[in-house]
This record gives sequence, structure tokens and C-alpha cells, in this order.
Amino acid sequence: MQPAVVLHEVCKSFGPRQVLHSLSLEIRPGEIVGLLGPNGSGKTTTLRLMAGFYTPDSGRLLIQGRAPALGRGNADIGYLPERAPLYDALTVTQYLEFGAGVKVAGGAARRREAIARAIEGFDLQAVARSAIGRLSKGQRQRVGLAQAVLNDPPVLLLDEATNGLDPVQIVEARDMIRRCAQGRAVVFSSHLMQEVEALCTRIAILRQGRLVEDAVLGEAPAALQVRLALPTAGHAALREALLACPGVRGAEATVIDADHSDWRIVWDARAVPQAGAGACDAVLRALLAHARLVAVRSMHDAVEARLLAALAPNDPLMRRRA
Amino acid sequence: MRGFGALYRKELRTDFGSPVALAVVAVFWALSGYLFSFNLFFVSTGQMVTAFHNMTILLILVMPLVSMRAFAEEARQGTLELLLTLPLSDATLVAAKFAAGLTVLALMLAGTAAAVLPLAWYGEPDYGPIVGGYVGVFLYGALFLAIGIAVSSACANQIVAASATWGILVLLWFIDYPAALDAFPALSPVFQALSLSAQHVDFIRGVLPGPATVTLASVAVLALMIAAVNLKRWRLR
Repeated sequence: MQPAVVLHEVCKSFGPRQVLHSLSLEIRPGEIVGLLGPNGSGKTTTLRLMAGFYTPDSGRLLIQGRAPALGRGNADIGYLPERAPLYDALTVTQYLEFGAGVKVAGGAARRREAIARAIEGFDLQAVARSAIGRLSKGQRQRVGLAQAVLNDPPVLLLDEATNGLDPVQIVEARDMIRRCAQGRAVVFSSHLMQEVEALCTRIAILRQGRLVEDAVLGEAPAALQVRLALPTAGHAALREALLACPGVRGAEATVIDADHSDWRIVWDARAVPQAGAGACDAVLRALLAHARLVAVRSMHDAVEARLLAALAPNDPLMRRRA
Repeated sequence: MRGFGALYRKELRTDFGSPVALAVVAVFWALSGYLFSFNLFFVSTGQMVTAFHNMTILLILVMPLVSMRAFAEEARQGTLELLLTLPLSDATLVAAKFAAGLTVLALMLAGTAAAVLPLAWYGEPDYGPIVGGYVGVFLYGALFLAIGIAVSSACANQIVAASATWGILVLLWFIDYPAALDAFPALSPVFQALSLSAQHVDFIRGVLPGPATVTLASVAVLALMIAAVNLKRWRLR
């Protein structure tokens, strides 16, 4: 399958400050790529390059196999910038009419159809005639997303799309992004690890403008949360046994009572010769050798652990946090 | 120019969805009406030439308030990023913003046409020069708007955009001030060529001198091209 987005050795500087260093990344239809990294790592610059807001200094950028034309946006891209900038004076319908007029080809009937589909698909019927300035953050986010996918673009770029939303709105936004993602290449930048973990099929981690990790999620579990029956006196021995397991980077205990505790164990699946499952086996053997397993809380990819490991692989502080 | 109509409608809706455009139009109508009435009742002058002169001066004051939002406000509220990533050419963006501004200008001037009614009631005005004068004032307003849009495309703050536009328009209005011509006689032809006020009297008399009209239109087109280049600069950052 042809990649929908190709960045090859892309560099970008602002004055003397180089923000992206030879960034290479390919994103295929159906992938939801979580773009991660600390502030200033180049996430927004990468999205803006893909969206056509910036131009690469060097390297190759292809959207649907074509280099974007300079001097105009790209109809193959649906883009929702950070903080969902919208026109507060317009109503939702007027805003979508504007978006459709610019992006949807094929006449007034097609535009009306696209607007009606967006209003229904994003549950905007109740606020269709309301001024955008009066909407809640969650509703604004829905309007922004509706505009981004009005013309059914093959590539969707979302910059911090769930930031500032309350938990209910986050769940709603997550559902909508999942629906939008079907058949599309989606790039989703966020600081919210649980969002990335819940939504993305792959993560790309940037550090100081360089790609330091590009991993498919779901191939191997990388973290385990369990409740153990183990007296506090046995914690030190268990921790030592766990840290001796291949790839294990951290083991934290939260004491429930004198005989019970919750443990969070994180390992780097790449560091284990037998791959992730091997690391998981070793961890489970160590646990069962020292304690009785009361409950398995979760077993997951631990995007946070991958992020911390990728950002500071040799930093002892980061290793302790992981 | 795909998307021109959609962007033009969006511009008018955002302009009139905020109090700024309405206030600007209302202030222009009120001041034009006041100045016309003052001349009619206290100076006993019912000439439209005087009214057109006053309107042009008022346009120097109010057109920067119409143009300041064009791109500076988009940059401030973050929508410029969205706008520049839509499949619209820079020329379409600038043309639609200019067309929307011209619509506001046309509305402002249309409201002042009420001044013609008492003239028609009490006298027999020659409508040719009146229509010509309106066209002349409209051309001046369009030039002020184009210069304002060029300035707005280089600013991220609408107050800065309006202030800079006022500065440029007032400078171009007074650039052929006699003291300046006396001080720099060698530059006199340049100052007179740049001056917006030098040919103004012909325009407001409804003469529309050919070379000066071409000059006004050319400067307006140049200003709009500068705006388009500024947008490209945003992308090339």
C-alpha cells in the first residue's frame, strides 16, 4: 500500500535554530500515528509542514504521492490546528458552508450533502444555528473536526486535539477521531499518554527535532499492573528480582495494607532477546516466585514508558520514573 | 479562483457578525451626514464637491478600521494557520478580502446618497458629476483599503495594522505639502506623483482623469500584490 504521507530527510530551521533534523517518516492509510515529544521537540512544526503551512528547507515531503504545491493548501489534508481556531462570529452551519465552499468540489448539492453529513456525523444538530463563540470547548472541537473531514480527505492531522477537554468530552472526541480515522492516515499530536495509547496504532517520538522512536503499538505488552498479596517486608526482594528480569526498567509499589500492594512494572520490550512476550514471562515468573497474584489490573503498551525511555535512555532519573 | 465566493461570504459574515464593521459604517454615515448638514444649514453650501471632499477625509480615518482585520485578526486568533492550509491560492485569499472590504465601502457610500435628496428637492442638480464624484470617492476608498490590506498582511495585531495604515495614508495625503516642496525642490515631482491629494479635486468633481485613475488603480493592485507576497512569506517561514 502506498504511503499517504512521506517525509524523507526533512529539515526545517527558523533563523539560526534548526527545529527538524533529517526527519524521515512514512504513514500509510489506516494508521493512527501518535506524534509525541516534549515541548519544542518539533511536533507542531512537523504537522504544519505536512499541512502546507510551512515549507521544508530541504528533504522531500509527499502527500498522496505528490509534492504539495507552494502557495496554496492541499485538499488531500484535513487539519485541525492546536486550540481549534474557529470564527466565533459565524454559526456552525455558516462555518461549515465556508469550509464546504472551499474544499468540496462538485456543485451546491454536493456541498449541502457534505454539510448535512458533517452536522449529523458530529452530532451538531442542536447547535447548528448557534454562534461558534457560544459553544463549549467540546462542541468547538467537534466543529473543527467536522470541518477537517468535510471533503473526506485521505490524510487527517490533529494537533493536541483533546487538550483542554473534560473527561466526558475527551471520550467523545476519542470516539469521533476513531470514526474519522477509518481508512485514513491520521497523525495525532498529544501530551496525553492515555489518549495516545487509547487511539494510536503507532507512535513516533521526537526529541530535539529528531525521530528517536517509531514503534507499532500492540505488538508486545510493555507494562503490567497487578495487585499482590505480599507483606511489606518482602517488597525489597521482589523489586530486586523484577529489576533483574531482562529489559525491566522500573517496578513501583503502592501499599494497600500490610499484606497487599499494587505494583506497576515497566519493561522495554525491545531490550529482550525473545521479544516482548519473553519479558512478560520472566516478570510473571518473578512475581509468582515471591507473592500471590490477587489481580491483574492491566497489561498494556505503556506509551509513557516508551516515551521516557526514548527521550532519556541513559538518564537515571528517567529510568527511576519509568 | 475556486473558493472565492465562499471566502467572500465568510468575510462579510464575520465583518458584520462583529460590532466593528457596523460601528465603522454607522460612524461614517453619522459624520458624513453631520458635515453635509453643517455646510447646508450654517455655511449655506449645498455642493456635493464639499461633501465628497469630507467623505474622502473620513475614509482616511475609517478605512484602516475596515482593513485592519483582514489578516492581522486572522493571525491573532490563530485562524490564519487554518486559512493558509485550505486549498485556496494566495491571490484568491487577497481578492476575496478586498472584495468584501469594497462591499463595506459601497455600503458606506450608498448610505450617504441620502444627501442628494434635499438637493433634488430644492434644486436641479447635475447628476453626472455627482455619479462621477461617487466613483472618484469609491476609487480613493478602494486604494485606502488595498494599502490597509497590505499592511494587515504584515502584522499580527490589528491595532498596529490600523495605526500603520493611518500613518501611510496621512503621509501620502500630505506628501506634497508646499513646505516639503520648497525644502526639497529636486524631489518635488516625486512628492507630487506620490501625493493622494494632488489629483483629488478632479476626482471629487467627477472628472476621473485617465492617467491619475490608472495610477490609483495601479497602486491599489501593487498593494494587493504585496499582500499576496506577504502571505507567501508566512508559508516560506
